[in-house]
Amino acid sequence: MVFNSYLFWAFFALVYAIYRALPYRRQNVLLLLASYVFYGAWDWRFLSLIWISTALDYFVALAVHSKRNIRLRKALVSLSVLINLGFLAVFKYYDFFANELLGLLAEMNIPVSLSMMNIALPVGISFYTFQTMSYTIDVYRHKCEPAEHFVDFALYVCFFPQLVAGPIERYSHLMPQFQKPRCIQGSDLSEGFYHVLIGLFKKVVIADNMATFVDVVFDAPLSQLSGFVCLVGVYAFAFQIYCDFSGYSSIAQGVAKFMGFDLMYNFHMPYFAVSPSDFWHRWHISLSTWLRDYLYIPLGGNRKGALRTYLNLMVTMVLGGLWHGAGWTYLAWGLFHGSLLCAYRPFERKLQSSNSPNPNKFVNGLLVVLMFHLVCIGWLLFRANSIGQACDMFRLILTDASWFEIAHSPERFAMAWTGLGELAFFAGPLILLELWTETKKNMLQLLYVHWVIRAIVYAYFLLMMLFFPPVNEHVFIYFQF
Amino acid sequence: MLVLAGTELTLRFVQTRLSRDLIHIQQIPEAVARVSQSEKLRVLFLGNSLSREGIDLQLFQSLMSQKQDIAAAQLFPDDTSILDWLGVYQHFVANQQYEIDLLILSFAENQLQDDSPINIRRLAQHFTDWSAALGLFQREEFSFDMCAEFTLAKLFASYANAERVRVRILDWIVPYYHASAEQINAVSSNRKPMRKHQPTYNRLKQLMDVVQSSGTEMVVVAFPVGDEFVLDPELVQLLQQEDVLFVDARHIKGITKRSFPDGYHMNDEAAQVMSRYLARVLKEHEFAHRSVKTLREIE
Repeated sequence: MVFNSYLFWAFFALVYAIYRALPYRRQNVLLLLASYVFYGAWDWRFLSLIWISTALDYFVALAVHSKRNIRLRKALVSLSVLINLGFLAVFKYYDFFANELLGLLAEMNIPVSLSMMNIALPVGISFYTFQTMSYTIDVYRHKCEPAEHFVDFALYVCFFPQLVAGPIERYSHLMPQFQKPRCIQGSDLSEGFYHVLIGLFKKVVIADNMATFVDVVFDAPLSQLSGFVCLVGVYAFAFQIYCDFSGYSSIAQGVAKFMGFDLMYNFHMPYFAVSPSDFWHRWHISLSTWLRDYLYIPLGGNRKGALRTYLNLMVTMVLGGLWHGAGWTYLAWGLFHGSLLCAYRPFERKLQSSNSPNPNKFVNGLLVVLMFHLVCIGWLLFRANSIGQACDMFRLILTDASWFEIAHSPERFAMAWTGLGELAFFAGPLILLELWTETKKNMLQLLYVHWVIRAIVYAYFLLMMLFFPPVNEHVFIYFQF
Repeated sequence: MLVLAGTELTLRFVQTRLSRDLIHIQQIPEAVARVSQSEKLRVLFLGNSLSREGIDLQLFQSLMSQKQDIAAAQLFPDDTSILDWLGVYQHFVANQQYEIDLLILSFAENQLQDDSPINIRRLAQHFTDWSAALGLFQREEFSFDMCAEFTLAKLFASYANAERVRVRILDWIVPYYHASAEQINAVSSNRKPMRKHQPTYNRLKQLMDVVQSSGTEMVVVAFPVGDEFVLDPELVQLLQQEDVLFVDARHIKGITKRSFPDGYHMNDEAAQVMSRYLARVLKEHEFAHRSVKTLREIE
């Protein structure tokens, strides 16, 4: 049941109609049941994992809160973390590492047999695991009180708008909203509508239309590619993954808003970042803040000298890369971003000042363009089928002799021109809208303009969705994480 | 809402100008009526762009007329396959209670198999009545989303014809769109996973039932295409069982790889060879005898 399906909206309409008729305690029960139905529609067998995770963290947090003995509290929270990470290790990483180990041992002529699990990854496991872990750790750190009602806590774990692809909500932000009656006003509905509309536009019109081109480029043999088409393929993927994921987050925000809940912003126009640090303040914000609070800072953050800071940054980003999946390309992506953070770190303070209210616009623009291209190199690693393919494509982009022929015989590069044309046609207007939003420093600026302008923008979104749905539908990329 | 309503009205008004395929679909009722009301032998060709480009109807008619006067029409909505053809026949012929003497169904590759792709929007808008919708949903085991798509396409011309608008606009705006789309489609189709299960022909069986129940003879013709395709022996066996004349025209003298300028459709010269060949086979068989032989057996 994906957000861009009729089934989801029929499901939501039914849930919403009942939801509006119930008092808030029963609304929570309804939302919990609806969330289990929503998740069960993917694969009901994996519901048991959510139930185990929910029960484990609910009772461990209560125990942690009630005990005074520090060692016992530590042991309890470690138990919770270990079991949660154990699920991730088994379902997400076991096959990859077992396979790599077998390959290594085979090269060393050591015959070993390891059985593979070969099972599908439970949808959203990385998201809800991190969410429940953050709760138990926060209770351990006395940052929040444990949940009183099991139903409320279970709903916090599996609230359906953000269950399968985030944002990874903190207990202190989401839980209070379950514990009090929701007051839904007209402004909530119009804000929810805006989020849903722009989210669907990003997913259906931009991400899925880019996906066809991206798949063709990344699945073609290198001999059939030019540097130009590779570059356009990477640009297209940059917008595919951004619009796919931020589109999902936006729809989740809108659906939650209809029901009176505020979900956090997971994206803040990331391609206008001027530095890696700025980028991670804008991209998948719920994950980057999670990694900061529960990994980077506990590792020592920047408090233990320069060398240790760089090491902590690298460790955090490599694990952040591996969070996305078990694969060398994700690891390389994490390493690359860790290196960028380290390389930019000496200049970070200066760059932050260039992002202040009165920056030198030209310098700022250059920094944005540079950062976008560095991020694109990361996306090349992220999307490539292997590190070898990423290196080959990168080399082709830099050294392809046919670059000089583009102006003389453009028809030879028909596919690249088409990709670039589609990118401009589908994503161009969104870039302009985001540029305007960025200058206004308000994510909801469109809600404050004259209604005629808003109506024109909404009509544009609707017509684009009507006439430019993708030829082939694609599942949300982040569901696999 | 106002914009959407305006778009819908505009689309309803201009839809026949969107593509020559839509113009053809609009002309189908008239063509079928003309043929069925004729005193001559009434022949309908049913297929897609393969038969549009691969049959010279005038030549075919003149050749057939040496034996018997015929009235013929071609129904060839673009990019259609067996489920569309079943819909076209039911919607425009059977439901109108028109009588036809001979139906010539042309196909290539997997177009007769049950797993050939479905264009739900076109099926809904042009080839299916509301009364047949429920039966279609059950028979084809449509998911909730497919039923919703069908219903919306049945109600709104703008939704049903979105793909045509999309192609027109992208062709106009995006450089080299047409050429690249063909290239992308070719790469995408190469990536499709290999078939894992035995093909089935329930849609074809249903079409044969509908056609034969009205006393119409049916001929199935395997058309040549640029890249040779393998015929499923199960299909040939099924046609034999159903007493349907099957013409395997994949390899005809005079039609070579160069006869397909775009790799798929025949050029004019090949279309004439194909039309002559088909007329000769049908005359030899005098299709009323219902003898089942493949081309190879004939030669």
